[in-house]
Amino acid sequence: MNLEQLSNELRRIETEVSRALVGQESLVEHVLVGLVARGHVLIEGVPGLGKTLLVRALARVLGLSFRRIQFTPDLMPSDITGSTLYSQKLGEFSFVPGPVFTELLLADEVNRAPAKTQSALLEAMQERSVTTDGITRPLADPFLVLATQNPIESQGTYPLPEAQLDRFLLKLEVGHPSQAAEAQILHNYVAGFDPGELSHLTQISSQAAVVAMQRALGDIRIAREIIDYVTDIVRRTRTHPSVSLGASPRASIGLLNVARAHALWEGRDFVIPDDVKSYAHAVLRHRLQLQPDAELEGITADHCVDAVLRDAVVPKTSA
Amino acid sequence: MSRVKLSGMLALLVIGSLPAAVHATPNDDPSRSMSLSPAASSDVEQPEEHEENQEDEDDPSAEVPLSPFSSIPREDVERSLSRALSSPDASFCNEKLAAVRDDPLLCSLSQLSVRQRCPGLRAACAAKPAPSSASDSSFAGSLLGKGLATVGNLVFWLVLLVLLLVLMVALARILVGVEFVAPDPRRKALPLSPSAASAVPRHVGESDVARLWSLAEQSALSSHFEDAVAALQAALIHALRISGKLHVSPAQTNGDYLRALRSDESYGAARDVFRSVEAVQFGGAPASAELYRRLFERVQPIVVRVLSVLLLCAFCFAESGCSNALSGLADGGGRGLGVLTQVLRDQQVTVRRRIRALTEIESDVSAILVVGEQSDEAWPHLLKFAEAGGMLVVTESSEALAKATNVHYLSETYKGRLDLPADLQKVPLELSAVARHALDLGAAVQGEQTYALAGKHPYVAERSYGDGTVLYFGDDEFLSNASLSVGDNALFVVNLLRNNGRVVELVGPWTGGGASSTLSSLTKAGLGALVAQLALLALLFAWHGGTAFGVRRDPVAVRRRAFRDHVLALGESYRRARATRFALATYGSWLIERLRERLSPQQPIGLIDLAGRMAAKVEQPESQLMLLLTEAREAQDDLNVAQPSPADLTTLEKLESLTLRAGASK
Repeated sequence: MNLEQLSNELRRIETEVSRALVGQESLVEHVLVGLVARGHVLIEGVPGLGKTLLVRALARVLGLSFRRIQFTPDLMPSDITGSTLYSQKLGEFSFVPGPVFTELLLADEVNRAPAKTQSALLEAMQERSVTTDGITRPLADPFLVLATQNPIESQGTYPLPEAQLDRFLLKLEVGHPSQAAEAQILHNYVAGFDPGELSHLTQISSQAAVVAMQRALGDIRIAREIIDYVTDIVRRTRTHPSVSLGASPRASIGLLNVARAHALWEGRDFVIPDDVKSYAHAVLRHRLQLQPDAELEGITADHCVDAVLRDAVVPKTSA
Repeated sequence: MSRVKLSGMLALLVIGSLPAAVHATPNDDPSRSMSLSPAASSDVEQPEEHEENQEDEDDPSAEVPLSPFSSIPREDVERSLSRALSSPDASFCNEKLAAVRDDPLLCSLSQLSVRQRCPGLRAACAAKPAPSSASDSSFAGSLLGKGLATVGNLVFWLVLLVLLLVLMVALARILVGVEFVAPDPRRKALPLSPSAASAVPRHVGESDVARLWSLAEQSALSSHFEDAVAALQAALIHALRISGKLHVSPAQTNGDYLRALRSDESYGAARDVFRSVEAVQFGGAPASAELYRRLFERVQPIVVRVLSVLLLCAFCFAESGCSNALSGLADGGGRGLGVLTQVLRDQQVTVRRRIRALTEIESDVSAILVVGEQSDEAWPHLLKFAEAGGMLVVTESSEALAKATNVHYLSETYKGRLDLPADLQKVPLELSAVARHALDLGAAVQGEQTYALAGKHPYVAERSYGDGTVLYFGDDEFLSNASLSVGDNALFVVNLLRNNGRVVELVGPWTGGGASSTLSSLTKAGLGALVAQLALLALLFAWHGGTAFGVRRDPVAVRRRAFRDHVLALGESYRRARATRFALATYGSWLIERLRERLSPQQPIGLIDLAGRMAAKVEQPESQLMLLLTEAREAQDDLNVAQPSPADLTTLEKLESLTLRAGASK
């Protein structure tokens, strides 16, 4: 498939998923871009916005396997990765894969598990493999972790460590749908829509097609000026007065990959500054550690990214 | 004031005068100089004069004619003149070419007087022979002026014509468009200029739409299509900026611009142009003549519209610039009144130009000097002022004035020294003038005084009018800077004007120009057309770009951080870092030490004694307090091994409560 066909397929996937998840087209687009860019996505939003529905609909439309882990304080690492058990019937030890052995993994309320359990996902997310009992087992390809967390901090939550946050390519903030979209949701509900039953959605893509999309990223051209623009943005996050810890080089790589994926989404075989700028917030917001006084003043990571983008000069500008 | 007193003043003037300055001729009509003028009788305090008067009271031979020129010492006037003429503003006196540039009157006057205070002027006049007579000089001057004016007019209209042609050609080129012909590919591309060959494209930083448009054409004609399409895109963006549809900044991407244009009619064209140019700039797509032609056709209508508006504005502003009818009187030139003003001010006389209308003249005004022609409506007010006791100084004739005072102006040319009337012959004054008019005083009346004669006709005279006087000068040029710089003209004039009081107002073309309202002010300043055009332009922009001239945003409140905020921030950091154990250890350690200082300042005590004393102070079971203090101590001991737990926060809260109750926070 050429780029145009891939772009069209992505658009069709978005349209199909949006049949189930009404009013969140932007979220669907961002998740798909993250999937194409081989990244993991952290979704932050209040309960009831359809985060689980999104992942299930995606799995259905993409034709990918789907597992869900509800993170709780007593969740153990082996509950995620799997463990070796003795089978009395077979008389031997055998590995029972955990839910991480899937193509689409929904890590619900990921910040409710302790750090030890969260860290069980680190290797899976970065290396795309799981090591238990000294044996490393590769994960499926594609492998996408969609984690959700509640923005309202409450008792019994554990903030994700920086190392793990850095492994999420995108952090998306889900807002409430518009009035028209919410009315459409109600209409669908009255008409008999069942979130647990998604058989009415058509499978548009396949595992092979998704892998082809991911590989097509290598054909997306990146001009030298775009690379300079990306590095300029990321470096500026490190010198911003309200930021105590700026974005890492992994963020630069992620931003570049996301820009390529967005170019593919748009059907272009080259990256433009808009691709970078439009995803800068999603890539950088969870990688910035703010100064305590800035947090007290109500400054958020998005404000810092806004300021950085206001200062970074767009390549080949007409201004 | 008695004649004896005045004779003393005359004696003072004689002593102070220069020896070479004596010049007086007999008066043909002495009877005209017999009466005492109101101006001369002004009662200005002069302490020295009183002393002199006392000495001369017994001298019967002191029947010297009245002199009104003695109230101000010559030295004072000379000092003022020197200061005024050495000022950089007195261009006619300081610049060698002033005489040639300014007026032939200057050279004529410089030849008349022995005492010329402007050496530069004399040198300039010597370099260029002065005209032989006043009439000749006037004629030659007018010829020269007319010639220069004609040439100036010709040049002005020529330049205007050329500008109009250029604008019309530019407009035609924009409206019709330049047919782009792709250059022959076999022909070698024109070499780029050094600036174009540099790494930064020439369109970067350029915000002038016309120049960007021209740059695009030039680049296309020299087959540099990548630069050409980039310049076209820049021209489009800045044209939209001028239209008020875009805010352009180096941090804005094309996507930002498109989002701003989403509901605009130019969205489609801009999207097409941006996509094509981005493919060239970032996608490595070739920039061809065909692409340039296609983009040109998309951009042209938008840019043309903006440039047309700009040209229209240029025409409008050009018109309003021409319509400005403001004119001013050069105070520093030969015909200015700067010297008179300066010398009078040095004598503590307030001199001011009257801007307000003459309908209500303030009571503090003692004299009004009328410069130039006045309207018929002004004269009744001026004569009323004189009738009420003021001094009206006139330099030109008018029908109303002649009718009221029966004094007429005669067209008589005279060049030379002015004579003094018989009763003033002993006054050592050297007066010179290049006169074009003289006075016809008609039948003699009571309260009339002639001060100077041009030949056989009075040149400076005064006549009573009601309770006041009217002082006549044959020409306004006699009061000019050039005239006052020679001989004793300044001394003569200043004494005449100064005698009557302390406030002199100059009434001229500017009088009545004051505005009673803002609108009137703008109109009188010649800004009415300009403001109307600006308002029209603002309306056009508002109609075209919307009424949002600025983005409304809430004011940023600058909050001062209190120490409490920093503590809270620190606590927040501890909480995020799960460092509750550390916080408990630190706080507990501080509290135990603080309690020990308060409850047993003399000698250190253990936790058991501390708990006991605390129990007595806060009326709480000793066991509970002991448990609390022990937990705080343990937090210090096992800081590195124990894991944080929610119980730490509970202990912290209890410790804080204990701190408050024990008064340890103070």
